Amino acid sequence: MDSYLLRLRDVSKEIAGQYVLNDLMLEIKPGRAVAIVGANGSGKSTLLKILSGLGKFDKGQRIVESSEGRLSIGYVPERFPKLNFNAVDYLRSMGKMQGIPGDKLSARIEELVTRFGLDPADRRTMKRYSKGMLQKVNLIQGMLAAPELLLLDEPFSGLDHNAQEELVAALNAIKRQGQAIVMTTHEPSFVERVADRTLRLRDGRLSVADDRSAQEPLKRLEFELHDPSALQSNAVSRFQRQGSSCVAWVERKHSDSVIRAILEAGGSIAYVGDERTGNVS
Amino acid sequence: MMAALSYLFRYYVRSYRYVAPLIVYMTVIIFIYGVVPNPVLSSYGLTSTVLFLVMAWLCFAYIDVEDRTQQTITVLHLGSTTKYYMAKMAVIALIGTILALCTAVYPVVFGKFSAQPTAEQFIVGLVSHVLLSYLGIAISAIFTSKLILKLNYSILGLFLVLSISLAGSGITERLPDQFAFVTWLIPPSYRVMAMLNEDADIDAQEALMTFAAVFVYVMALQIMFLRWMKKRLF
Repeated sequence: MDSYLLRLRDVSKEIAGQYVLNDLMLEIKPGRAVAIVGANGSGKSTLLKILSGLGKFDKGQRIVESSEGRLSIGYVPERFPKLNFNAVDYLRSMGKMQGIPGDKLSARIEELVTRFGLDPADRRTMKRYSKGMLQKVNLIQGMLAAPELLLLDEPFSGLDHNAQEELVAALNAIKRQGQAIVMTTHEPSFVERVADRTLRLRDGRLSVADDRSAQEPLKRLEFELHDPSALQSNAVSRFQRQGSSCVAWVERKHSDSVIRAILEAGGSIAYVGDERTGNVS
Repeated sequence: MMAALSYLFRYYVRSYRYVAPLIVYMTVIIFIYGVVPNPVLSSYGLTSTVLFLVMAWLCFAYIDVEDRTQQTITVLHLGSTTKYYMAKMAVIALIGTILALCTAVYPVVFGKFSAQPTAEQFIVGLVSHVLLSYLGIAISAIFTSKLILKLNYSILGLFLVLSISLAGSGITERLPDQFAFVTWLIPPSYRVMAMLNEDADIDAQEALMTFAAVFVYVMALQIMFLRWMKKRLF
């Protein structure tokens, strides 16, 4: 039997006389990522807030089915405020509120801040941060304590390329640890690299836009190779050049042989990680 | 919980929203004690009334100080809306307690009274300040923008309730007997003021009853506030 973390059953929400959510059903499973797509104003952010437990709805049920009866939730809102705190001070406060022990918290903050390209020694308050820097702090606060369910509202918005790639890797790692992800986004390329299911929200209801939950995740290989034509093989599902680097998505069973081929051809491997799919145009 | 208290306190300190009420408060206190000597209990009655009003002002500026989006993040990190608001109220209550203590101690240390207060007078004065500061906070918290959406209405409502509270003695005297129960709905700051303004020997039983009335009123308001906020969500 499938286990669920959270279910919404027949949830309806009316705003200004119009149903933005109408008898909506949604089930969240551990270790799975769901992407919600839809037009602006279709109710995606409202849905995330209801999933978080902090949004009101007029009808229906929100059922927590976590084994402990209580669900730990990380929430990354779309518009993160410019607060009068420096990033590390703020993150330490958020982590302490979650009860993360001091040493572990400092190490986790250092790890995430460095991973997303922020400077841990930066003493400026977030009032002086750019949109991209704020978004990085926003993501980090949501990931601090490895919540059972991570809700992300337009997480790729405002990030530079490196940070977007780090986020994709971080989200895939989160899934592998058994945490669930629900995100809204307008970036189809990232949706396909992270989400197992893509749901479209239209007229207050969800429909399946894409379901890849039965597919095996692919290995993502980042490497440098002077002549990548040597890699022409059925094992490579997709190949892309990024400046002087190359990225290939490979079926798990072929990853060792492809890595060997790159090294034998004089190339060097920069990154190997699991990813949902490379099946993008 | 300590982490939440520390964070909410630092958030408030960095907002500078307390500057105007505190300046007004200090000015009024210095003005009140500008001429010496002063009678003990009626001076305490006056300063505790001023503290009641200033704490209502401070709390009104404090209750919605945290950015709305950040509030949802803070609540999720804390894991409970009730814990969040309890921490929030504890911070402003702590500020009220410190101000009450300073206000009760200041005239004693600087010899502003006609005679040094007895231990009994000092305790009654201190408890009056503390309880009236809590009463100001408890009333003001109800007028948060989450419960009353329009700022105009909340300012008007707060002024009205504070005025009724200050004029409580006059209102209760003029109320017909069949409306006597209304007396218990009026915020009981007027009871403390009436007790202190007598400036005679303190009747311990009367003082205890008066303080108990204020304490129960504050607790009832706080419980109602927490229940409403839990339903209100974000």
